[in-house]
Amino acid sequence: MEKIAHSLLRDMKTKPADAQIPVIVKYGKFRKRPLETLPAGTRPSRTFRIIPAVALTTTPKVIESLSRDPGVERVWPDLPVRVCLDVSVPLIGAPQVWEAGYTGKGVKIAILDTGIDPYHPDFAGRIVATADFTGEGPQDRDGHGTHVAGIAAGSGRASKGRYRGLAPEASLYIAKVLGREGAGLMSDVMAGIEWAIEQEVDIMNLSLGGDPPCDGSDALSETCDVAVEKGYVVCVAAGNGGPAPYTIGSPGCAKEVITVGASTDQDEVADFSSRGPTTDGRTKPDILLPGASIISCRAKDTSLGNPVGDNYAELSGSSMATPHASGIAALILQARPELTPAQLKAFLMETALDLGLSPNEQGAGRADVYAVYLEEPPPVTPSPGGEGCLLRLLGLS
Amino acid sequence: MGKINRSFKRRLMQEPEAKFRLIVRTRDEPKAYRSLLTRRGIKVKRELGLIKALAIECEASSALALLREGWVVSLEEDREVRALN
Repeated sequence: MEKIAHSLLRDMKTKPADAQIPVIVKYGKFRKRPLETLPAGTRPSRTFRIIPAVALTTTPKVIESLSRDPGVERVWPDLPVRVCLDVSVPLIGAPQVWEAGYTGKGVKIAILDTGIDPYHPDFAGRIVATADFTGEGPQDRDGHGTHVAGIAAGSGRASKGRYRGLAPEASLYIAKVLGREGAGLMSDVMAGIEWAIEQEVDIMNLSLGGDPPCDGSDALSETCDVAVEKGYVVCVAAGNGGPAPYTIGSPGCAKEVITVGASTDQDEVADFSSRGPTTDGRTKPDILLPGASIISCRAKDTSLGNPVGDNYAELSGSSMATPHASGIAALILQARPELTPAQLKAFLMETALDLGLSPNEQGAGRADVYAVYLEEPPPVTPSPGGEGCLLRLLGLS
Repeated sequence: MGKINRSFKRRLMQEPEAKFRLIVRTRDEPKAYRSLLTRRGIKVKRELGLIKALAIECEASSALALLREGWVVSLEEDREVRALN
């Protein structure tokens, strides 16, 4: 049974014995005739050549018998993929997780940033609470916070779904801790974290940081670590001081947080993305996620980045990579709410795609939400795009 | 590690009349020290209960005097953080 992906096992348990479930069955490398192991009457709908695998639709009982076949290596659910949206979201496997029914619904994400445009259509009805720690009011006068919130949880409504964020049904809690110039004080951010805890959010997104280097002992880093110890997932930007080493600032150097560096759509580390180690010798960042040329929500009357129509703008930075992690966390926590922040971080790192770089450049690699969902490392494949994302991600097309 | 970073302490000593924004970590709940600080003319901006700290603003000489207090666990600059786009 351990050959069957965890998510498929869950589906099998909840479906009737005669249910027809689409799966992808991968055979061992040296198996010459994989089809001979299929039960009579079960025919594959597709046979793949790059890896020895077939797609077929069959019952839970047949899936179980296939998993007992010594020639079978792995059985995955063949999830439907109807839309591949812009670039970064499908690259990290979000559409497959949406199709499995997880969109962040019921999960609370706090965005600690420059505020939000509360009238942007992509957040309609999902901003639960706002707090201002700058004295300017919660409205986003800079544009950064709105862009970040859109990556984590924008619905894509104003773009007919094209620029949909990772967790489009998550609830948003907005702490404005950075002013109109995109700057604030550590103590403002610490106050924002305390507010987010009072709101009982699940995830905090901190696309911000101070000057590098650091060792994780400063007040902001330790506040982040205490929040994690109390059960909150905290995702923090590594910084934009790369490619030199020792360029991660506070709170990216905090020990327990998920420190996120930026990658490109071609799965390379972005040149600007900060590198570890920390000054006390720890490896950072923890993971990479897309942070180059990301199109997301644009706050009204702001001009940050390259405008893409009235409602969107293109920005780059580890600020953009970080809400990808927060969105991933929202999808996974909806599917598996029992996970602790430490377990979630471990899953993200264990299943990340190894880009073959040093740990202080890439962390564990580029994270992939579908791999976390399936609880196995993603295969090394070219970037997907357009239709057929699932097959490309699995290396089957 | 002591109560203060050495290079920051040097900065405070070099500019005793300059105003600094600081984070003071306290031995007990921070609200216990709020009125004490206010009486000394130190502006208390925030109480930060999660790690038992206060965000304050005062002259460097006042900050250096705080280092002699037994209830002061550490003193650091309340530094700027920025959006990382």
